[in-house]
Amino acid sequence: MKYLYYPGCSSKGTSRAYEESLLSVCRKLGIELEELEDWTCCGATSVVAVNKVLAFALSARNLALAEQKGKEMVTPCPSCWLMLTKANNAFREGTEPADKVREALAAGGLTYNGTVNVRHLMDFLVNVVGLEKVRKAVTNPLKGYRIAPYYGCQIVRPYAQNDDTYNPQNLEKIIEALGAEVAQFEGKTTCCSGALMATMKDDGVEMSRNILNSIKRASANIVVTPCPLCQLNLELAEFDEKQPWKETELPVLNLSQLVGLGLGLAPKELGLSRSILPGVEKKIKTAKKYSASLEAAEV
Amino acid sequence: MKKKTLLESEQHRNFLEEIAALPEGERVLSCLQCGTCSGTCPVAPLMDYAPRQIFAMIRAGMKKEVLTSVTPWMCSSCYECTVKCPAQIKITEIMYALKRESIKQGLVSPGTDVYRFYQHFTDIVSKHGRMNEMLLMMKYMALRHPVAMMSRVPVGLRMMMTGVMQVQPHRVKNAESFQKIVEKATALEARQ
Ligand code: SF4
Ligand code: SF4
Repeated sequence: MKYLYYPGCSSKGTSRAYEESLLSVCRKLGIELEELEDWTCCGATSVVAVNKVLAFALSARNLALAEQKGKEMVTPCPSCWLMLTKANNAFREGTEPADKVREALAAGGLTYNGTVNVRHLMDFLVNVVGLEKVRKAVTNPLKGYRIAPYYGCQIVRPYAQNDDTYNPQNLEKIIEALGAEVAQFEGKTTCCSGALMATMKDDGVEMSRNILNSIKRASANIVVTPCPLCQLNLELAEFDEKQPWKETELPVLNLSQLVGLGLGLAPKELGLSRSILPGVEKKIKTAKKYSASLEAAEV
Repeated sequence: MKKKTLLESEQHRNFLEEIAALPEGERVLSCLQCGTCSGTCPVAPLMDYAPRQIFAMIRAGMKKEVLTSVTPWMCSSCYECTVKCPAQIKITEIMYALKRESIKQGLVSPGTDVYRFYQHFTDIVSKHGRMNEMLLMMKYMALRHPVAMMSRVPVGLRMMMTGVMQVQPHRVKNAESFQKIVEKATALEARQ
């Protein structure tokens, strides 16, 4: 089956590595994706702060285009997923501002009937592709890594797709399917500061740094997040901290980069060199050696 | 016939009803003032009034104080309060509504210019169809925050090096249809 793919703006910019790794992982798993033609921004948390009808119309436009092509759409961005879901709900339940949005779409010659299902990549991997399939495709088990599952906000709040709002488990399941160990830490669904990192950098850095510190206390050696903005913000907080970066800085990977590592994909296919912290590839390798030496010391 | 002049005090008295009448305000009357929202809010220290206080002020009809507050502009849309509120008030959506309301009434807090970020974001998307992060940061920072912008040069350079900075803004293929949707949506929003 072919799935529609909605990249979201950051996939073409600061989060290019998320798109690169997502496409590589899907290719490896034999999943056929088709990028939604002529998609536009979902509006994120910004447009709705200024113009609600426009925010919903932007998302609904994408859903209307998708409806002409298929029924199932997947996106790597929790914020896009939430905005598309909100627009979907408004159309399906007939709640405000669906009528106005319908009128706006009609002005551009589009209609939407509410038939497209949008999934975030995390839910897609767990519940459509299936963990069994992921497990079988692992050629490079991530044994020896302690991985911190950092969800961020919008993938679990206000809606958690096939997961628990307060204590989600989908990332843990994926980490385990890849053969790695989960590093549980306080604050896996705490806010990274979102757009405040852009507008109020010092406060944003502090919020992200608190999360990093909590992760470090759990002696994780890699962080994984399903959110491109969380990845960016944690990396920016690390970048801000000290230059050059110490060995202790944590590699922050997006979901498909981590899965790709387990599937044995090359760093280039996963866009690892696009990380804001230089030398992430090397850090991933030393992290494993370090864990292995700890393990050896234990026996 | 409707009264043409509403005394300021009367406007204030209607504020709770105005908010309750919003699509996101349905449950606002059942706020228990329990403070769960303020307790869970990760940005409460950045706010002039924590979320619980905002609801108390709405009830007290303090329209001007609420709409000129920096609180809604600090909200990071994390939805912590929304999922925990025992009265199931859609707090995050109300924060969005307060932002839009303060723009409409020309009351945006002078204490923050986060508003400009959202406005530039909206303008870029309305024009080009997709976000261009570099353009947004330039527009937001160049004139008003030149010093802060300089502090971001190292990371900007690094991002140039890794090839994640788009230079060219996007072009929508079906630009005519897209522009009509944007115009219509904007006109409908203004009429609300
Ligand atoms: S959590 Fe809900 S009920 Fe409690 S003070 Fe906040 S808005 Fe009111
Ligand atoms: S959604 Fe906004 S108001 Fe609510 S807890 Fe998060 S930052 Fe605070």
